[in-house]
Amino acid sequence: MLELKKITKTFPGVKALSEVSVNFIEGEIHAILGENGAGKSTLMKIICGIYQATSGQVVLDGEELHLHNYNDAVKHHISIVNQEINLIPEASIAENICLDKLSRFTKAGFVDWNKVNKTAQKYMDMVGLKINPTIKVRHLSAAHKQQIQIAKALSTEAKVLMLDEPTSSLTQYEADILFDIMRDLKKKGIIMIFVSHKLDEVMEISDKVTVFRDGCLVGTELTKDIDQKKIVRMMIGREFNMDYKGRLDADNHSVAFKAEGISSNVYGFHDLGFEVRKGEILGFYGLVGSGRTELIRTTLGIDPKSAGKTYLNGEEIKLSSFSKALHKYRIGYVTENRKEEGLFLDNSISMNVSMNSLDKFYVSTRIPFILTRREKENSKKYVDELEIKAPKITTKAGSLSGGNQQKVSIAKWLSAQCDVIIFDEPTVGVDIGAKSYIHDLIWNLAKKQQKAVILISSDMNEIIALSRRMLIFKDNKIVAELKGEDFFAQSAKMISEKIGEFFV
Amino acid sequence: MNSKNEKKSFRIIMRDFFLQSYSSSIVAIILLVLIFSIGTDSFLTQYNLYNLSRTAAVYGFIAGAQLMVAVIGGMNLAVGSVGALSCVVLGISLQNLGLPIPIAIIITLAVGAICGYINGFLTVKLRLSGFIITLAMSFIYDGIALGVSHGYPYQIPDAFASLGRAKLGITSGLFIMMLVFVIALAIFFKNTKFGRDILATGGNQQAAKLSGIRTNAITISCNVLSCIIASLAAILWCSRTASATSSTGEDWMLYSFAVCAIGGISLSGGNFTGIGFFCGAWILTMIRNGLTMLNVDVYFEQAFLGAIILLAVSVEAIRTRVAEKIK
Repeated sequence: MLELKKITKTFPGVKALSEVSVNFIEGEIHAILGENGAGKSTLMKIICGIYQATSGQVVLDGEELHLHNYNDAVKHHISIVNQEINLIPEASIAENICLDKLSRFTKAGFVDWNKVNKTAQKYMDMVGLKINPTIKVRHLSAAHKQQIQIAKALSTEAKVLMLDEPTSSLTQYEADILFDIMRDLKKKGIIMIFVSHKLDEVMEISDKVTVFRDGCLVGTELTKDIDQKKIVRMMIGREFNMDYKGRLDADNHSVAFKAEGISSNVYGFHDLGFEVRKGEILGFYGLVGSGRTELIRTTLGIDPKSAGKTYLNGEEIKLSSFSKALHKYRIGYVTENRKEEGLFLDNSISMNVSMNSLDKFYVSTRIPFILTRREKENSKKYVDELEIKAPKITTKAGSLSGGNQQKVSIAKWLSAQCDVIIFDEPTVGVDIGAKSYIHDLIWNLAKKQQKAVILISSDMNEIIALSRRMLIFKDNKIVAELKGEDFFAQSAKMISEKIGEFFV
Repeated sequence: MNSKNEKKSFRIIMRDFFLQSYSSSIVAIILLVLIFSIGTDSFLTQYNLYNLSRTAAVYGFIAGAQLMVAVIGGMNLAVGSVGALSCVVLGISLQNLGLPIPIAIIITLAVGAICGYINGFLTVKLRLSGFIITLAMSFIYDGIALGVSHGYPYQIPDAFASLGRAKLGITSGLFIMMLVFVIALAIFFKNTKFGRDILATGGNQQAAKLSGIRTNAITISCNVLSCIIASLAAILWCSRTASATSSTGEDWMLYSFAVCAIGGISLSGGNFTGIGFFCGAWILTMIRNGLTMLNVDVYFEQAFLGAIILLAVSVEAIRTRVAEKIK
C-alpha cells in the first residue's frame, strides 16, 4: 500500500498542495482527476521523487520514503509513464527497455545482447507486445511506443506504476489495448495511478476516483458509486469564491469578429464557427485537446485551414498568416504556453512589452526609426499600469514569477492596441493574487474599453465569472452554447451542473 | 565623508561596467595593448597601427557575415567559400571582362546575395539546420571557385587596390568603413523593426511567430545578408592584398566564429552588442599581430591564438555567471 499522509507542497507564493492524504492499494486502478493547476502533476512528481514535499509523509508498505530524485523512486520500485514518449528512436526496443540497467548485462565492457533481448522479451510479454525486440523504436506506432514505455516502467519491478495521460496520443482502438494491459497488470497486484482528462476512460478503467481542486483533495469515491455528472461537480462545483462581476449587456453591440465554416485537416475538425461582439467576453470551455485552442490557431492563420471565412466588423478578411491578423487587423492572441510561445525570456521586460507595437515609436510614419526613449516610456507605462513587480524594466522576463510573466505577455498585446483579444488559459500557473488581477483586467477590457474578448479556459469558474456567453467544446466539436445574462447570474453550482450534462 | 561617497559611486560605476557584456573584451584589449607595447618596440608605431586597423576592418566584415546568422541562432559554414567565389567573380569581372570597378562590385555582391538566398531557401524549405546546408553548399561554392579559376590569381587594377590602401589621417579608409559598419549594425538592431524582428526570431522562434513575425522570411533574409557581407569582405580583402584568388577565405569560417565568440555574441541567437563585436575583431587581429612581433615561433602561433580565445570566452562565461548573481 502506498500511503500519502498530509502532503503539503508550497512554491514561492503558491500553495500547490495542502494536507493531502490518500491511500493507493495493490491491484487497484486509482484515477486522479482535476482541472489544470489543481495539483495532480505536483502530486505525481512528489510520489516519484522529482519534487520533495514541504511537509507530510510518503509511506510505501509501511516504510517511510525520502526520495531525492527519480532514481531513488525507481530503487523503491516506483515508476512513471509520461504523456510524452521518451524513447530513443534509433535504438532497438530491447535496448530502450534495458537502457538504465545495461551494466547488468555487460561482461568486460561488452554487452550481452542475447541476454538483453531475452529480458526485454519478458516485459514485452507482460504488456502483450508481440514484436521482435531487436526492431528499432522509430519504426513503431504511437501505441506500440506507449506499450514499450510501460514495459520499461515495469522492468524496474515496479510496485507502483503511474500513468500520466497515457492515451493522449492513442486512437480509441489503441487505448482499448492499453486498458486490457492495465487490467492484466491489476491482477498481478500492481498499484496503478492513472491521470486522465477523459472522463469516459476513467469510468471504464478505474476502480477508485480521487478529485483535486486548487491543491486540495475534494474526495475519493469508488468508481461504481458515482457517475460523470458527480465527478464534474466535484471538479468544478465549489462554492463560488469569485464575485459575480455584473452584466456586460453586449447583445445589442455590433459583431466585431466572426468566423464561419472553419475546417482543418491538421486537427481534423470541420465547419466550426463563432462570433464575438464588441464589449463581449465569449468563453470557450473544454478540456485540453477538445479543439478550442486548435480552432483559434486555425482561424487566425497560425496553422493552415482547409476552409472557412472570417469577418472583421462585418467585412470579410483573409487571415492567411498570423502576421496579417496582428499588423493589419489588430487581432491579439495571448498564448497558452507563455514560456514557449509568449515571451522572450532572455530579453528585457521592456523589449517584450513593446515587441508588437514597434511602429508606435517611429520618429514619424515616413521615417521608420525606433526612438528607444518612446519605447521605454511605453514599457514603463504598461509595467506601472499592470502593476508588474520587477526591479527594473531592463530585468530579464525569464526571472519574473509566473503571474508577472503572464502580465508582461498580456501587456504586449495591450500595447499593440488590439481590438479583438484572445486569452488562452490566461491564469494557468499564476498565484491567486495575480489571477484575480488578470480577471479584473479582462473584465475591464470588455466593459470599459469595449474590446471583443475571447476567453479560452478549462477552469469553469473563470469562464462563469467573466463571460456571459460560452461555447462548450468536446472532441473537436462545439457541443453547446450557453448564454443569457440571467443564466450567468445563477449560482455556480447550478451552472456547473448544467455544463456537466454536456460531458455525459 | 565626502571621499567615502565618491569611492562608493566609483564602485557602482565599476560594477555597472562589469555587468555589461562587452566589459571583458575592453579589459582584454587594454591588457593586450599593455603586454605587446611593453614586450615589443614596434607594436605601438603609427605604421603598425595603420596596418592593424586595415586587418581588423576586414576581420570585422568577415565576422559580420557570421554575425548575421548567429543572431538568429544559425550558422554559416560557407562564409569563406562565398568569399572565395566572390574573389573569383570579382577577378573575372575586372580582368577577363574588363568591367568598370563599380559594376564589378555590384556583380560580386549579387553573386553573394544569390548564394545566401540558396542557403536560406534550402534551410527553410528542407527544414534542415543551417549547419548541414551551409556545409554542403560551402563545398559547392569552393568547387565552383576553384573549377573556374583553376587556382590562378587574377590581376587587380591599381585603382582598385588603392581603395584598400587609402589613408585617412592617422587611420585607414578600411577602418572608417568598419566603424561605419558596426555603428550601422548597432542602429539596425536597436532602432529598426527589421533588426528587432531578427533578434526576436533568434530569442524565441515560436514566440516570434506568434508575435506576427514571418520567421521564415527572416531566416532567408539573414542568410542573404550574411553572404552579401561575406562578398563585401572578399572585395575588401582583394583590395587590401591587391590580388584575387580562389584560396581566399580558407580560414575565414573559424575566425568569423572566433570574433563573435570573443565579442560576446551568443551563438544561440537573440543578442547583439556593437562594442563587443568591434572589440572582438580587434582582439583577434592584435593577438595575431602581437604574437608575430613577440617573435613567437610562427608554427606555434595557432596554439597561442587558441589558448587566448579560450581564455577570453572563459572569462566572459564567468563574468556572466557573476553578473546574474549580482542582478
